[in-house]
Parts: sequence; structure tokens; C-alpha cells
Amino acid sequence: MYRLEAPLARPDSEETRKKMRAEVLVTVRNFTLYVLALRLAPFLLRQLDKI
Amino acid sequence: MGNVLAAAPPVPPPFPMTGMPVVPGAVTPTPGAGTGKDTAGHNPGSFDELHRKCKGEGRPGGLGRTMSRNYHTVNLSTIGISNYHFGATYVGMKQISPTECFPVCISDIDNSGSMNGQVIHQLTDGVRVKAAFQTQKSRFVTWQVDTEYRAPSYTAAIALGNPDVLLGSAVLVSHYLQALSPSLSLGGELVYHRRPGEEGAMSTIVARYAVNNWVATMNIGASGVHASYHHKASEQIQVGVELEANARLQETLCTLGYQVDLPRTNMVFRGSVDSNWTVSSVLEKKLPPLPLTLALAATINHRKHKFQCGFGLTIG
Repeated sequence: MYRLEAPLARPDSEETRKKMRAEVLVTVRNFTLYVLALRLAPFLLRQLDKI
Repeated sequence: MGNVLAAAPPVPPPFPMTGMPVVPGAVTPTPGAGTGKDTAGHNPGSFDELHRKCKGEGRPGGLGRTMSRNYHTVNLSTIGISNYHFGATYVGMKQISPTECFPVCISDIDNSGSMNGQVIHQLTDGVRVKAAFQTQKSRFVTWQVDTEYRAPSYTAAIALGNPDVLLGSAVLVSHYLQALSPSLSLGGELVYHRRPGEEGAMSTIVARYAVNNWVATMNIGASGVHASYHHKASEQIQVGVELEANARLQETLCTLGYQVDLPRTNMVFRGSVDSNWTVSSVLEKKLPPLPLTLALAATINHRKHKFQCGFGLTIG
């Protein structure tokens, strides 16, 4: 008796690579925005103090 | 600055609240030592030193070996193979503050031939570079180059670890720490790693609140949480508590530690207990006028029925 099975779905390396790159870019973008917000925070706090 | 280098301290293993050696020439300025030109006027210090107080580093009365230019350390221990370390430190003549001279070269080699070394240099008023490497027996294990820029109200750093041009692999770590007020600092860390067929990035957010005699620090990221609280109760007594939760390994460790300095007797006693019920203690005693420091260390875990002890003698 033969048992037929669908071949295991192999992860598409190109797609995986693209996904990893996209995740990296998102993380870098979020970190950059966070750093920018931190850089601006002292200025904003100073402006709030003046009010 | 993204310490990719995992330099192990050469003194007996069960040392709680100890870490990388502190070098006289490379004492990092305390947070809040900025020039006062910028918004907050308080440099928040280095990212690597956020949990340093709880780790027991940067103390003026640290281990004798760390305060001397050259040292020899012999460790006899029940834990593993006893070893011998030789360390040498070179401190240059470029003095930028009463406690800082550059360049600084630190190296440590043990009897198996494993060596780690660091070169730290202050290029300009705000820019500091560090190169570090570590060998294990005859193999290069890690090497990294760090650059740190300290402005009056923030510190930014970037580190490159284990770069391999042929394989296309490297680790890049970026830090940013901003002082929002004399007490409060916020920052973040971005770690990017790349090797053939794989790359990833991870970010961590950090906050530190420091007042006269206590410091609370917290790192939160996808990889886990690291929080610490250090309180200097008096000139002699310091206590600290640390929580480390690793999301990937599903592990949490909480450690409570204390340190008692007895300057009249040239003794420092440190003890800790963690959530795995491991109790550790270290007694260090300088033996003036001889350039010797004796260290006795012991660790016991009642649950696992494990007891370890050792002693170290540092010459230098």
C-alpha cells in the first residue's frame, strides 16, 4: 500500500528574506522615531515651562 | 556601548555584584557630570553603566586588582579548575579630568592562554572609542569596536561586533540615552545582527530615575525585562535588588544583594540571595602595606544541595 502525501511546504527563502528585511526596517524606523522624540522632549518641556 | 565582548571577571566565580574591572584611568564620569550647556545639563552617562551600581561596579573601593596597573590573581576553587590570571593596565598621560586619563589599555590572560584586552581612548572632549577582543585558548572569539559621543544632555553610542566581511556577518548595536531632567533619563538600544541567510533587529527601551542615594533602572524590550534598584543606605551599607526576565528562555531571576564597606579594616563584604535560592557571599580584604587583596567566596544552594567555595589572592 502506498500512502500519498503532499510535499512539505518549504519556506520560500526569498520571501523569508524579504520578511526579515521588512521587520528590520520597521524596527529601525521605530527606533529612529523614538530617538527623535527623545531629542525633542527637552525642548518641548522647556516650552511647557514657559507657559 | 553594546558590550558584545563577554569578558568574564578573573576572580572566583561565585562573586555576586561584581563585573568588568574598573580601571583608574577609565573611570566613567558619573551621571550628571555634564558641562551644563544643553537643556538638561546633565549627561546621563553610558548605557552600559545603567545597572552598574547594582552590579557593584564603579565603586571607589573596588577590588585591589582593578585599581592597580598590574596584577596577578590565583584562584583556588571547588567549582572548577583552579586558575591563574595575569593582568596589565597601561594608562596614558592625556588627563581630561581628575579621575580620567587616556589612552587606557587593559589586558588579562589566564593559564590556559585565554586573553581579553581593551584599548580605550578619548579622541576629543565628547568622543570616546574602545576596541576590545577576546581569545579562548588559541582562537579569536570576539572583537568589537565602539564609539561613544557624550553631549551635555545625551549620550549616543554605536558598536560593531565580530564583523566578518567574507561571511557577511556582524552585530551592530546602537544606544541613545537622553537626560530629560537631572533625575530622569530615557533611552533605547537597537541591536542588529546579520549572518548568511538571516538578519534581525531588536529594540529595547530604558528608563532610569536617580536621586541622591538611590537609582532605579528598567529596560523593557521584546527579549525581556531587566530592572534594578540600588539604595545607598549609608557610607558603609548599600543594598540592591535586580529582576531579570528573559522572554525567549522563559526564565526569571530576582536577586537581592547588599554590600558592607568597612574602610577601617580594609574590608568589603558582599552578599546576595536570588530566587533560585542561591545564597552567595564574598569577603575581600586588602592587606596593607603589602600589595595584596585576599578574597573569599562561597555559594550555597539548599534546594540543589550544592556548595561551592573558593579564594583568590591578588598581587598588585
